[in-house]
Order: sequence, then structure tokens, then C-alpha cells
Amino acid sequence: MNQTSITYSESHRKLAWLEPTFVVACLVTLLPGVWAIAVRFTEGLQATALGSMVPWGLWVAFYIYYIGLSAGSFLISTLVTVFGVKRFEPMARLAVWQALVALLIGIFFIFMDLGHPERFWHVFRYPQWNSVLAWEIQIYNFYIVLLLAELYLLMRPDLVVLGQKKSGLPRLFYHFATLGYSDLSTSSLLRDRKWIKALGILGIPIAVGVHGGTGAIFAVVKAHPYWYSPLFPIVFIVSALASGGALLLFLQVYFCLKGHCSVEDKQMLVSLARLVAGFLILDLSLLFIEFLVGFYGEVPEHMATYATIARGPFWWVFWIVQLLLGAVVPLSLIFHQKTKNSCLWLGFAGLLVFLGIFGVRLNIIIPPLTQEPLPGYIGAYHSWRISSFYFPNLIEWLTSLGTVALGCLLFYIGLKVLPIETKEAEGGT
Amino acid sequence: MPMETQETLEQLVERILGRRTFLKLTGLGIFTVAAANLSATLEAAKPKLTVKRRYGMAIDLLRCVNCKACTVACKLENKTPPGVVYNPVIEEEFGEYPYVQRRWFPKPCFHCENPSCVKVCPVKATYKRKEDGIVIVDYERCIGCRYCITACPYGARYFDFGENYPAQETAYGQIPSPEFHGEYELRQKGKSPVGNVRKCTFCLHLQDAKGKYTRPPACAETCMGKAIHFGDFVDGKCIAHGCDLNELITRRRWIRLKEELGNEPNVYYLL
Repeated sequence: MNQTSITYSESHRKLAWLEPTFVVACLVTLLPGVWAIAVRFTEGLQATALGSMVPWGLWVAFYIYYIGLSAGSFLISTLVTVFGVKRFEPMARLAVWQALVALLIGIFFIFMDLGHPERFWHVFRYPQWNSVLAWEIQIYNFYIVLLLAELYLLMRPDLVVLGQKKSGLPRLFYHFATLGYSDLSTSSLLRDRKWIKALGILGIPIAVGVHGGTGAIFAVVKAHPYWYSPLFPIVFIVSALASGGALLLFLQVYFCLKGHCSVEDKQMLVSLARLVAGFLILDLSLLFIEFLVGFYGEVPEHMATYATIARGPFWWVFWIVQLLLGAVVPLSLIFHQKTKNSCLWLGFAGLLVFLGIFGVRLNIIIPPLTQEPLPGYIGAYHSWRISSFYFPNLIEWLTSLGTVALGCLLFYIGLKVLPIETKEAEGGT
Repeated sequence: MPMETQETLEQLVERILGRRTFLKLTGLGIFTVAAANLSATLEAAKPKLTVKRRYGMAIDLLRCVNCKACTVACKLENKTPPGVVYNPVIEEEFGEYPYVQRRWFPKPCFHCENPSCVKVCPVKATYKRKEDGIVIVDYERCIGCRYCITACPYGARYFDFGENYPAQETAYGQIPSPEFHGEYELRQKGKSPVGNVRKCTFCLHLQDAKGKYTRPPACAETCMGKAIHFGDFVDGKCIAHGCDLNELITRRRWIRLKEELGNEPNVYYLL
């Protein structure tokens, strides 16, 4: 035990450069991002490479990616808050915080994607209840409130302690963050636990609604056979669980290497990695079933979508990003004799799965949209806005990276300021 | 004391109604509400009897010569910007030499009886007009999410990205466009319909206050082969090119595109 703690503190020193580099990298990405976002809001969607055939592109892919990350992270946190899986206890707060930040990024992406973002409130003022999208936006409201409440209750004991320990401005901040509820008696803590559990139970259908609903946005579109499948919302949820778990795995490994690691923590990492692998395998199986049915049916547009995915200009997103780096390599790392107990490799596997799911998201959005609704549709009118080829332009890339960097910074600040990594108070049962 | 009151209250309810009756009544209430809702939904799903007109087209493919005059006339009439076209002529070449064939057909919005685009709009910005079945976009309501573009099986919807023709700098730029519910206005940067989804309106602006066409939609009017019969399916009367619409589709063989999706287009292609 002693020996391990020494190596941990050594690795802590070795890793000291990582966080400042991360912050600088985020800031460097954020600057052009802010410029690009300004261009987008002054020029409108003219600044993008989107068209009338592929009206949804990189931003929508990021949107479903982050909404998925959020729902997946929250659902994994319920393993602790609802199902009482002791092993995962240390990461409950991290999971909820991750869910909250991911949701905010996701919502910003879809806000940025609107042709008239200044009218977003129309969804609340004039909702059309036949539209899955309208339902979605209402669910996000509940979900944000729920995440905030859950996070608050999970952190409250530590917020109270911090408020007593610190002085000056931080003291004021933590006092404010407790919302004046600073009772730390056993009965009040027990009551908190009950609420955490209740909110977790309530949150499961909401989180499933949040991302299953996002899947349903596509699943109800009969114009695109590739989307038009009842399996789609389920695929969304499973891949969300994989991506949420994968990012948690990566972060937990980092915290572990930084020096908060114990034998239990390592066990937790191994279990989490297996869990992620399980979700990933389930996701691949569902993908396989989808393909099986599609290939059996041989509906021309369906087949053409597969052809675009597998042999189109971005074939490598499917074969290399999604399958090789996003599935085969991480699964091998998680199950291979030599790497399955190594924190470092497991963390790397988590990162790969997390990034690989983005390939999944891109391939959900773009290939079906590149298909002509009727043969000869593209040639009928010559405009580059009516084209089956779509590649995001510089503005789309910079805005996206900037938004992601902003999210990373927010996430990082939360980790530094809020008691998210601390786990002692969690152990109170 | 409060215990007793509670008991008497319960007893009172039991005595007057009986537990079963109470439950039955509650059940009945829920059932009635549900049934009312269901019947309202079914009612809404039925073809509307209140519809006064149902505008549509019968496009005679034997008469169409692929001159694309409809596309051009539409662009001029509606002053659509680059990348927006309400009535392109879809053209396809297929078969192998020497048995090569071409087929083509003008494709406006079909103003479906069961439009997929209307269903998905989150803000009721696009809707089917009760009085004549024309599917339009309320530009001031539309948030530009483009869900309807992805949902339309016929690719009838286009996004106005805000681009202009080079001629915008000339006097052409000062000609107002009829796209504001009959109001002729200038399309300006950053203002609707820029940033909105646009589509064929059956030249709605050519209707008078009573909903009658003062002249036919541009594509039908300009068609030199008189291929585009435009009219009202309720009384069958053609506004462009003579005959009775219902008689045309009874006498001739016709197809509607992607019939299997159940959208029930109001544009028929006569073979």
C-alpha cells in the first residue's frame, strides 16, 4: 500500500504538466471558436456548408453526441444513486456533472443550428405536440432541473463543510451554493439520500426520454429508410451508455493516476471498463441487426445509404473511426490478458470508445441525407446547396471545436471549484 | 376528534355512493375523457368535410416536353434566390445502349393530404390550410430547424441560406417578392424568409380575397404544352388548361409518387 502511494505521488508529479496544457489548449481553441461563432450569428447559416439536401451536418452530429453523452452519464450515475452499486460510488458526482455540462453543450449546438436562433422560444410558446422535436425540447427543461437538483443534493454535505472551512469570497460562494440548507445532521443526510434516490428513479425515464427521444426524432422520419426503424431510439440509448461510460472511465483513470487511487478504485475501473465493453458489444449487435434487416430488404435507398457509409467518400469514418478505433481496439484492450488490468490502457480504451461514438453520430446524420429523394433530383437544378456531398467548412469546424473547448473549460472549472472529485462524504451510506 | 370526522367522511362517501360505484364512476370519467380525445384524434385524421377547395394538379407527362419553362416561370414569379427552386424538372436517364431512355417530370410541392412535413414541425410554422389544402410555411413562426426538409419524402423543401444572384445589385434587387402571405415585400439580409424553409405555395399570392385564383400559378400558366392542369379537386374545375380535373384522372391512367408512404399527394401524373 505504502509503495503504491509513493508511485502514485510520483506519477502525480509527472502528470503535473497535463492540466495547465489542457487549459491552454482549450483557450487556444476557444479564441478562433468565438470568432467563428460571431461570424455564424452575423452571417446566418450562409456561413456553413449545409444545403437543402444535407440540411443537418456537423452541428447536429455534435448535438446528438452530447445529448447522448449526457443521458448516458446520468444513467450510469443511477447505478449508484438508485441501484446502490457500491463499487461505482466514487464517480456518482462526476457522472452527474458530466451529464449537466454535456447537456448544456448539446443544447448550444442545436441552438446554433437554428436558422432563426432568436426564435427558440417559439418551441415553448407554440408547441406542436405531433412533433417529436417539440417534446424533446420540453423534456430538456425537466432534465436540466433534475440534474441540477441531483448534483446539488450529492454535493451538499461537502459544500457545507467547504463553506465553513474557507474564508472571504469562496466562503460566500459555497454558502450561496448550499442554498442556505446547511443542516448536516444524520436525519437530514438520510433525507437527502432519499431525495437523491427518488430523483434518480424519476431521472431514469427522463434520461431515456431525452436520448431515446432524440433517436425518435430520426426514427419517425419515413422519408429515410435508414432512420425509419423502431430500433433507432434503443441504439441511441445503448451508444449513449457506451459513450458516457467511456468518458467516465477515461476521467477516472486520470484521477487515479493523479494520485487518488486505491485498490477499490482500480477494481472499479476494471468493472467500469467491462460495463462499457458490454454496452459497446450490445451497440454493435444492434447495428448488425439493423444491417441484417436492411440488406435482406434491399430497398434501394436503404442499400444506397449503406453503400455511402461503407464505400462513400468518408468510408474511413465507419471502418476506421467507428469500427477499428472505436470498437475493435478498445475491446481488445479491455479483454486482452496483458492490458485488462492496466489503468493506463483501460483509460486509453475509454478515450477511444468516447471518440469512436462520434463517428457513429456522424454516420447516423449524414449518409441518409445524401441520398436523392427521387432519382435525378440533384441534376434537376444546379446549385452547390443541392448536392449529395457535404463536408463541414472552416466555420463549422471552428465553432464546433470552440464550443467543445468551452464545455471542457466549464467542466474543468467545475472540477476545481465544486466538490466533485471528493468522495469521503459519499461513503456515509 | 379529527379521527372521528375522517371516519364519518369516509362513511358518508361509502354510504352515498358505495366504494364500487365510486371506482366505477372514476373509471367511467377517465374512459369518457380518453374516448373523447380518441374520437377527436380520429375526427382530425378523417378527410376534412369543411374543406371548400382542394387545389391540386394533374400533370400530363405525354404533353411535357422538358422545356423547363415552369421552373423558370416559378423562379421569376416567386423571385426565389439561388439554391431555392419550387418546381424543378426531374430528369433521369436509364437503360443501356442501345436501349437508353429518358424520363422527366416537373415536381412542385404535392400539397399532400397527409403531409409528413406538417407533422414534424415543432412550432406549428408549417401547416395545411383548412380552406384549400395548400401547405405553407409561416416565415415569422419558423425557427429554421429544417426538420421538415428531412421529413419530406419528395424533397420539396429548400432552405433559404440568404444567397443572392449577382443581379441583386441591379434594379432586379428592388423588385419585391410575393412571399409574405400576399404582401409584396423586399427580401432582406438576416430577415425572414432568409433563414427559413421555403417551398411551393401554388402561387398563393395570386388568389383573391375569396380564395379564387385571379390567374393560374406561374408554372401552369406558362406551360406551352398545356401539360400542367391546375385546379380544384372538390368541384373539379380547372383553373389552367381547360378540362375537369376529376374527369382527367378518371379517364386517364395516372400515378402518384411514393404512394406506399401514404402521403396522398394532390399532384397526379397522367401517363
